[in-house]
Formats: sequence, structure tokens, C-alpha cells
Amino acid sequence: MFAADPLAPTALRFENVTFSHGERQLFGGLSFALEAGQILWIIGDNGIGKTSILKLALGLLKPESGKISYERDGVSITARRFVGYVSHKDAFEPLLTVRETLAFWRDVFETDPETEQDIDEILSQFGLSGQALQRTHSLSAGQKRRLALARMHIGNRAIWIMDEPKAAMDQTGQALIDSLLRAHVQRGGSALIASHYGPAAISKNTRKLILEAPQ
Amino acid sequence: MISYLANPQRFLKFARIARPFFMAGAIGLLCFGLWQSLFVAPADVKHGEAVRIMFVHVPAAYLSMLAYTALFVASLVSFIWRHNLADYGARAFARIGLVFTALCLATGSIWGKTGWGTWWEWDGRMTSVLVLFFIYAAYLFLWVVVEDQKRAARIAAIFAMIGMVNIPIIKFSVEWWNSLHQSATISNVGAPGLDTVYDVPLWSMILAYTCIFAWLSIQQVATDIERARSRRAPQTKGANIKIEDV
Amino acid sequence: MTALLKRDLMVLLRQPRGWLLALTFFVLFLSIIAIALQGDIGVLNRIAAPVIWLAVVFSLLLTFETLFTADVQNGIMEQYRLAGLSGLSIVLSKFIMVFLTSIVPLALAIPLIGVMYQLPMVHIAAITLSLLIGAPAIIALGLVSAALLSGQRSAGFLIILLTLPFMIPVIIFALAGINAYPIEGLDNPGFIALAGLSLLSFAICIPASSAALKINME
Repeated sequence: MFAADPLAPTALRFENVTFSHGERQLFGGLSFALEAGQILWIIGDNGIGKTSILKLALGLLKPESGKISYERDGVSITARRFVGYVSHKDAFEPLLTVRETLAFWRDVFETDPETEQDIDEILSQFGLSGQALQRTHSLSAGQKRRLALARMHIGNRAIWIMDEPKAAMDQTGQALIDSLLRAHVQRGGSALIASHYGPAAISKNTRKLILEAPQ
Repeated sequence: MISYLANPQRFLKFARIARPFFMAGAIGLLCFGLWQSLFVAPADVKHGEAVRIMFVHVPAAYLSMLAYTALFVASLVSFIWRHNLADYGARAFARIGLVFTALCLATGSIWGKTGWGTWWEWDGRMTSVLVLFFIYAAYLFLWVVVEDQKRAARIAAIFAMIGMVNIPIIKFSVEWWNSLHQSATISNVGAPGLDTVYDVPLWSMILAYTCIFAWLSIQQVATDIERARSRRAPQTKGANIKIEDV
Repeated sequence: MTALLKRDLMVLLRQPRGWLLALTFFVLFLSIIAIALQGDIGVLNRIAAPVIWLAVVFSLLLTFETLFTADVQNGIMEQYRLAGLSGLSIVLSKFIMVFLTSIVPLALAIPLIGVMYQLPMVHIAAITLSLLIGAPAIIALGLVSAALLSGQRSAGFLIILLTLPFMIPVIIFALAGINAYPIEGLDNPGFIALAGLSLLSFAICIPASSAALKINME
């Protein structure tokens, strides 16, 4: 069901990764593995380096030292095409409507027309039916998050990387995220989530990585 | 040798010896060259005393090209290996290149006043040097405008590499354009038929300029290394990391 | 890539101020020159080709400032990259879009300028042809500068400073071609050199723009 090979488990590994912002070291010797079916929450105060870990995982930043790798069937791959990303930015063209936005991203992801879900169905799943014809610039912050989640859902990627997905979300929105994650993990997907909210125990494979400022 | 010097520590050690060496070379050669060109070399049959401007002008023209070639090589190295020293080098070469291109234009203009009777002619050679000046300026503006210096280095490197491809084309096009409308007499004055009596002053000036170039580049790179070092905050410890089950 | 192009065109139709502004600037700029020269048709005829070319270059570069900035800064570019789109296809779709929405309207406006400047037919044809032959070079050179500056919130003037020196050969060959066109026809040395320059600039600048976009995403 995921891009390329359906059920191939994909693992993400950080080995002894060091990263600095300017001249300030954010973290050194960071190692963890995210196997298929696992969720890892990254917890910590603002500015401690949560987003940097996500961007390193995405390949948008390069580590100072150490190794970040993806592995699928014992073959190492790059992040592109295997990860879905919900960033803290909007990342939508403001002049397109919600419906057009999803149709556009479906084209970009080149999803299989045989199995692709109807856009109206997706809209109602993400609670955006009422906004289908609204341009994205007029959406509320929570609605934009929902749209970003819908885009990631369409992308159908093995690893989800999310930056504060629950920020600006109402109760039903937070529940939506939890249920999406549950379904994702059951299919063998995994997720790396930065948050300063308390993590939810979605499945027994949930862990948290805590970053604390040094004394 | 380049990979040996790629380490900032070793570069500083090298700079301590090389800087005074090139500085002495530059001053010595400059004194000798100026004495040769002002007092020893005879006045030219065609240009008279004005021929002496050539000894400051031609080396400046040569250096403006040398500096760009160095800039290109440094940019290539910086782009492929992302090395700080290559970035410092590229910026230093561009600054020096800009100054010598300006010197080349100024001395060319003075020479033009004696040769053509005007300060400026839209002659092919002068025009392409003028464009080179603008390219240096645009390159250095990139460093100023892009605040994140690591990114500025990579962006400027791409610009310098595109420039390297374009400079010969610009030169060719401008000379071709010039040949369409300039009368032959004007362009001939720009190309001195070199008498062998001018070899000694000209070559000593070219060597002197090259030493100045080496001296100033080493100086600037060494300063950049030291500045980067002093700016570095005392090694802060990164965040403490714990992994727990939820 | 077709999806990108479709999106860009859709956005442009919804917010046409970008290219309309460029077109208005083009006509206004050339009118001002005619007014400044007190409508002296003799002089206007002589300088028509170079000033039209300069007007094209400036009106294009002014729209290029924002070509990539929005997508880079609001994170769309990151999403493209993660979705597996290559930088090349992003740049190529912009290239086609600029050709359709900027070069074509400007080329269509040249006969109008020709009427205002009382240019002979053959001269109008020569200028329009030179613009079409040189378009890949102008767009490609502008795209690199836009991509290099896409991480800056306001690069404004610098894009002109970066691009103009490299435009010099383009302008020289275009004008030589225009002058030779009435006698030597389309395959004169100026136009041939211009076409070569278009190919070369395209080949160099498209990958360079893609690399620059990647740097500005980091």
C-alpha cells in the first residue's frame, strides 16, 4: 500500500548524530532506531532541537557528524518518496481551494488511480467537507493542519514525520490524529513526532525521546 | 598540497611563513619593477612617456583574470567539498579581483586619454573588463545580502561558476560587437607592439602583482579563520537525551 | 510536471497582477522614452530595437523576484522534494510558465510598440523574432538568479545586478541579428549566435537553478 513496495518494512536509524545550529551545539551522540510499526515522540522545550531532528531525518539538513539512514529489505534508501511530512509551515498555495489542493497533490504524488480514494471521502474523513471550495488562505490554523494531514494521508508513505501536529487542533482534531496514527501503525507504518504536548500511548510500540537543556 | 592546507590549523602555520615571504617579494619586486619602468625603460616611439602606464596597467589586467580563475577554482572546491577555507579563499580572491579590476580600468582610462584623447572609449577590451568589474561586484553583494554565511558561500559559488562559463562568451561577444563599428586605428593603440626592452620591467611588475595577490589572499584567509575561531562560543554541551517507553 | 504547470497557470489566472504589471511596465517604459525624446521618430526608429530589448529584460526580471520565494518560504518546495519531484522538473515547469505568460504577451505587444514608434514592418518582425530566439537565454539566466535569491525575503534589486552582466552577449547578438535581418534573413550570424546562446544558457542554468533551490531549502 505504501509507495513502491506495499508492505516492506522501512526503518530509520540515527547513529551517533551531532548537530549544531550556528556555533551552538544542539545535541551530540544522538542514536535511535525507528522500526516499522513504532512511534517515537520527541519531547522538549522550544528551541532545543526537535525540528532539527525531524529535518535531519528528512534529509533537509545534514548532520555535522554521525549517520542517518533508511533501510528497506536490507537495502539503504533515501528519505524521498518514503516519508510524509507535516511541517509547522502551511505549505499550500493560498489561491487554490481545498479540493484543488488535494487534487493537485494527488497528481504530484502520482498515486495509483486504481486504489486512490475519492477526494470527497478524504474531505469528510478529515472534517473539511464544508471547506471544499474555500481557498486555503482563508482556512483557520486548525483547518490548515487537517489539510496537511490529508495531504500526508494521500501520499501514502511508510514513515510519517510530524512537527507539532496537535498544535491549534481542537478535541476532535486531536482524536483524528490519534486514530490516523493507530491505523498507520497497524499497517506497519511508523511515525516520528515532535511535540511539547504529552504523548499519547497509541500502541504498545510507543516511546518518547526526551531532550533536556544541560545544566 | 591543497588537501594539506585544507586544515585551518595547518593553514595558519603555513600563513605565518608564507605571508612575510610574499610580502617581502611584493615590496622588493615592486621597487625593482617601478625603478625599471620609470627610469630604466626608454620612452616609446609611438606612445612617448605614456608607455610607462602600461607597466601598472597590463599586470592589473592580468591579475583581474587570475583572480577570477582562482575564484572559480575555490568555488568549485567549496561547492563539491563544502570546505570553509575554500569559501574564505573565494571571497578574498573576489575582493582583490575587484580592486585590481578597478585599477585596470582607471589606468586604462588614463592611458586612453593619452592615446585616444578621451578618458573612455567603448572599445572591446575596456568594455569586457568593465563587465568583469560588475560581475565581481554582484558576487560580493551576494555575500552581503545572504545573512546565513554558510548558505551565502554555496550560492555565491554557483554564481561564480556560471560566471566562469560566461566571461569568455562576454569577452568574445564584446570584441565581435566592437569589430563591427570601431575603426582599426583605435583598437590598434590598445595593443602595444612589445619591444623587448620592456620585458624586464613588465615581467617584474607582473611578478610583483602576483606576490601582492598571494600575500593579500593569505592574509585575508588567515584573518577569516581567526575571526571564525574567536566568534565560536565556548563549547556548549548539547541537550541531554533520554529514551523511555510511554 | 504537468501538474505543477497546471497549478501555476491556475494561480496566475486567479491573480493576474504579476504578468499584467510586467506588460503595463513594458508599454509604459517605452512610451516614456518616446515622450522624453519628444516623439522624434527618426531617433526612435534608430533606438527602437535596443530599448525594446532593455524593456523586455527589465519587465521580466521584475516579475522574477517572486518566482520561487513563496514556494521556498512557505514550505511547498520541501514537500515537492519529499514527494519525489526533481528540482529539474520544478525549474522546467517554471520555465515553460514564464515563456507562456511573460514572453508571449510581450512578443504580442511588440507590434503595438512598432505602431507607436512608426517602425517598418520588417523591423517589427526582426525584433519579435529576436525575442523568441533569445527567450530561452533570458528566461534561463533570470531563473538562476531567482533561484539563487529564493531564500531571501527581499532580494529586490540584486536580481537585476546578478543577471544583467550575463545578458550582455544576449543583447549584443540579438541586436546584431536584428540589424542583419532585412538583408541576410533569419540565418544571419547574429541570430545563429543568439540561438546557440539560448541552448547553452538553458543547458547550464536549468541544473544550476535546481541546485540553488536545494541550497535555499536547507
